[in-house]
Amino acid sequence: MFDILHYSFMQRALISGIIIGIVCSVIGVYIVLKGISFIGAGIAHASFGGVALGFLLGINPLFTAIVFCLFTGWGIGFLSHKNRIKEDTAVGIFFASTMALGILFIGLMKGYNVDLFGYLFGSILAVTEEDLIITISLGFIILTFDVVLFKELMFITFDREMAEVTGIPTTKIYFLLISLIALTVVLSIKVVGIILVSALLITPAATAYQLTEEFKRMMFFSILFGVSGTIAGLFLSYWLNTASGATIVVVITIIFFISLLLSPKRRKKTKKISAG
Amino acid sequence: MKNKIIELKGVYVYYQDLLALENVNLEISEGEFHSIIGPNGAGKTTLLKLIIGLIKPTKGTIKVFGKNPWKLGKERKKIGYVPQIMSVDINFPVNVMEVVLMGRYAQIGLFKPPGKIDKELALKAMEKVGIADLYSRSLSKLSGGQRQRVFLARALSNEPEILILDEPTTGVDTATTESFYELLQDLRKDGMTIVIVSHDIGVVAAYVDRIACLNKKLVAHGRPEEVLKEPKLEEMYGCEAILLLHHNIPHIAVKEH
Ligand SMILES: Nc1ncnc2c1ncn2[C@@H]1O[C@H](COP(=O)(O)OP(=O)(O)OP(=O)(O)O)[C@@H](O)[C@H]1O
Ligand SMILES: [Mg+2]
Repeated sequence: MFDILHYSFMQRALISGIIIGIVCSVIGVYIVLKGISFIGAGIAHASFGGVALGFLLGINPLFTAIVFCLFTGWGIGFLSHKNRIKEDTAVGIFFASTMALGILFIGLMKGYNVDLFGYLFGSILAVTEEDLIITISLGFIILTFDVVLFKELMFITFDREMAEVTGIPTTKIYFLLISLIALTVVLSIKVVGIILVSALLITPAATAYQLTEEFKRMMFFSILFGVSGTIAGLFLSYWLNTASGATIVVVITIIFFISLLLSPKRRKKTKKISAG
Repeated sequence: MKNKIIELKGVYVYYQDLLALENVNLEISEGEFHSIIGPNGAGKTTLLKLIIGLIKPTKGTIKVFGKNPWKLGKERKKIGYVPQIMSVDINFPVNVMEVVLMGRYAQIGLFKPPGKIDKELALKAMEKVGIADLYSRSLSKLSGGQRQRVFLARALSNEPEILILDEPTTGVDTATTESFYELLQDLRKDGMTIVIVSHDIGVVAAYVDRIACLNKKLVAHGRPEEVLKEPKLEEMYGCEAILLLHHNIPHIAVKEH
C-alpha cells in the first residue's frame, strides 16, 4: 500500500509536506493568537503576482514569490505601523493590487500556462529537487528565527505595548514576524496552493488552541496536527487523485471540528480591546 | 524637598486633531504616592504613556530621572507599568510564572532564555504581591483581583523605582481593592514612587500623598483633603462628575500617615 513511497516525486512531496506542516503550524500559533490571519491570507494572495512574474521571466516562480511576499508583508506592516491606516485596509490594498499584477503578467505571456493551476491549488507532482532545496532552506531559516527569538515573539504577540515599555525592539520583531509569515507562505504554495495556504497557517493552531492553555503545548499540538494532517492529506490526494492542497485542508478542517467537540472547556472568547 | 523624579512642563498632546492634554505642569517627587483622577477620556492614560515613554508630547517637555522618557534605554527597567486591564487577551495560553517573567525579557536580552536569576526575581515579585502559590496557574483561570496582582508582579520583577498603575482595581470588589492599596502602601514604604490612575476616589484619598485632577488640563492638584473639598466647584467640574457618577461624594476618609 505504501509502494508509492518508491516514487521520487512522492518522497519529495512528503519531505516537503512535513516541513510545511511544521513551519505553518509554528507560525500559525502567532497568527492565531495575535489575531492577524488576514495578513497571512493577504500575503498568500500576493504570491500569485510573484509566481506569475516567475513564469513570465522564465525563472523558478518561488524566487519571485519570495520577493513579492516579503515586500507585500513589509508594505502592510509599514502602512499599518503607528495606525497610519488599519491593518485590514492595508491588506486589502496589497491583496488586490498584487493579484492584478499577476493577471497582467499572465496576459503578457504567450499562451496559457497550465502549471499555474498547480500553484493555485497545490500539486504533489510539482515539487522539483530545486523546490525541495528552497523548502528546506526556508524552513531552516524560519525555525531558527523562531527558536532564537521565541520569547520576544511570544511577548509581542501577548502584549505588544508592554513589550515596548520594557524595552523590547517591538517594531523590528513585528517586521520579523511578518517576514517569517511571508517566507512560510512561499515554502507552502507548491504543495498547498496559493488559495489554500492560509488555512494551513490557521487551522492547526486553532485546533491546538482548543485543547490547551499552555503556550509551548499549543505549539506542540499545532505541529502534531499540522504534520499529521499534511501527511494524511498527501496520501489521500494520491489515492483519490485529488488536488493535494484541497485534500490537506479538508483533513485538517475535520481534525479541527473533532477538537472542537473534544475541547475540555468551551472557552469564552474575549476579544482584544485596546487600552482606553 | 526631595528630588523631582517626574517633571512635566507645559505639556500638550494631540492625537491628530484631538487635543488630549493641554498645558500640563506636574512634578512628582521621589517616594511620593501620587494619584491621578478624572473622567473617561480626560487624558489619564495619555499622561501615563508620556511618563513611560510610549508617546512623545506634541509641545512642552517631560523629564523622568532627568531624561526624556523615550530616551531612557536600559534605564527603562527602573519604571514598572501596570496597564489598563482591557489591553490584553486574558485567554492567551500562558501561566502566571510566564507572564511575570515577561517583565524580565528585555533585561535578559535577545537570543537567550530566562535564567535562574530571572526566575528568582519573578518569584520574589510574586511573593511580594502574594501570588507565589499560583505560579503554574493559567492566566484565564484567575480572578480579576489575582490577575491584577500578576500584572503588578510583572511590573515589580525588575525592582523598579517608579511604579505606574492605570486603573488597577477596575471591576474588583471593595475588600480586594483595599488590600491592593495596602500592598501599594507597603511598596511605598520601601521607597518606591507610585503614580496611580484610579476611579476609586474614596479609597485613593485614604492612601495617597497628592491627587491630580485631570480633565485635559490639570484642574486641581494637591493633598487629598484640599483637592476633594475644593470650594471652586465650577473649576472642578471634571472631578465632580466622577464623584457623582460613583455616588460616593461625602465619604472621604483621610488616614493619618
Ligand atoms: N492612540 C490614540 N489615537 C487617537 N486618539 C486617542 C488615542 N488614545 C487616546 N485617544 C483619545 O485621547 C483622549 C484621552 O484618552 P485617554 O485614554 O488618555 O483617556 P483616559 O483618561 O485614560 O480615559 P479612561 O478613563 O476611559 O481610561 C480620548 O478622547 C481618546 O479618545
Ligand atoms: Mg485610561
